[in-house]
Amino acid sequence: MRLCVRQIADLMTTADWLAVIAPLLLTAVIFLPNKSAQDGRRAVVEVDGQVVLEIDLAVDSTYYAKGPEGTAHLRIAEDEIWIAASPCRQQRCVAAGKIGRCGQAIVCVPNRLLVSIPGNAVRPYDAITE
Amino acid sequence: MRGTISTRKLTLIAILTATASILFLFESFLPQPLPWVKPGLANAVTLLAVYLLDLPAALLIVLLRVALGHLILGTLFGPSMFLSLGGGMAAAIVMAGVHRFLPHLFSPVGVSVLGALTHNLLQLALVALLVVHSNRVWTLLPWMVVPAVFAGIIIGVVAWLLLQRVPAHSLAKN
Repeated sequence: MRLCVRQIADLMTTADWLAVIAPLLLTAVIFLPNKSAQDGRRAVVEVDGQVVLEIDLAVDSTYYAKGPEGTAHLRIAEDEIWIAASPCRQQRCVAAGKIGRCGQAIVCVPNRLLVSIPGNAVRPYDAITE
Repeated sequence: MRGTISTRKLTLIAILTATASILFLFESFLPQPLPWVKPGLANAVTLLAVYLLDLPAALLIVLLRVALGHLILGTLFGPSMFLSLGGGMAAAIVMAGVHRFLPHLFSPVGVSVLGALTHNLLQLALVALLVVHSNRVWTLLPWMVVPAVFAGIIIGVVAWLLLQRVPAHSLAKN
């Protein structure tokens, strides 16, 4: 008896195909976003267009970035970075919260501060503050 | 008659146990490019046992195969034996359940894929619970699911071919 792909395809029922495709799709949906989060290991801090800091998000720490308005406090924990304190008036960059994935960014316009996580996935900024 | 077993069934269990043990040992000698990816050849025998016999017989064959295989490999009562046992038995239970309650929905290929997935999921759960005590191992899941699905298809086709060649009179479930 000759066995060919056609025969196997005939043998397989709709439920069979479901059993094959559903787990593959499910893992793709669940794990691919995490995969791109793997790329977001590094945050870049720019003041007035100049790169002033490059931060490894794997290490929990605090950084300071000096802009025209004053010094902003950057906190890093659990692979995420956020602006903990800012000298700006409206504090929208602080309210923007934590970012940790590629393409995400926090901008503080008065202080000319941009915190971004470079990566392949280009997304619109989650929040442009003030 | 409780507690008795027909010679035909006993013989079939013995033959399937021997076949499964040989496949299990053969597989352990194959090179493994990724440590957690194995074709699961012995699962074809479990599938045959589910189709030709019944769930208790299939569980018995898994138990004997795992015990014999690990005895010969020198890993008897080691952690890998309990992983094999848990995965193998869970796969047998799921495959028997699907075969019994959804008999016309799945072909042996689908039953085999579900068995392979169960095997991997339970092993990963056992590793997370008993070995490393961490949920970090679940990040391995995609690395297991994808090979499991393809191995399941191949094993299912093998089992289907074997089922076609098994003489009909051995199908008697007594």
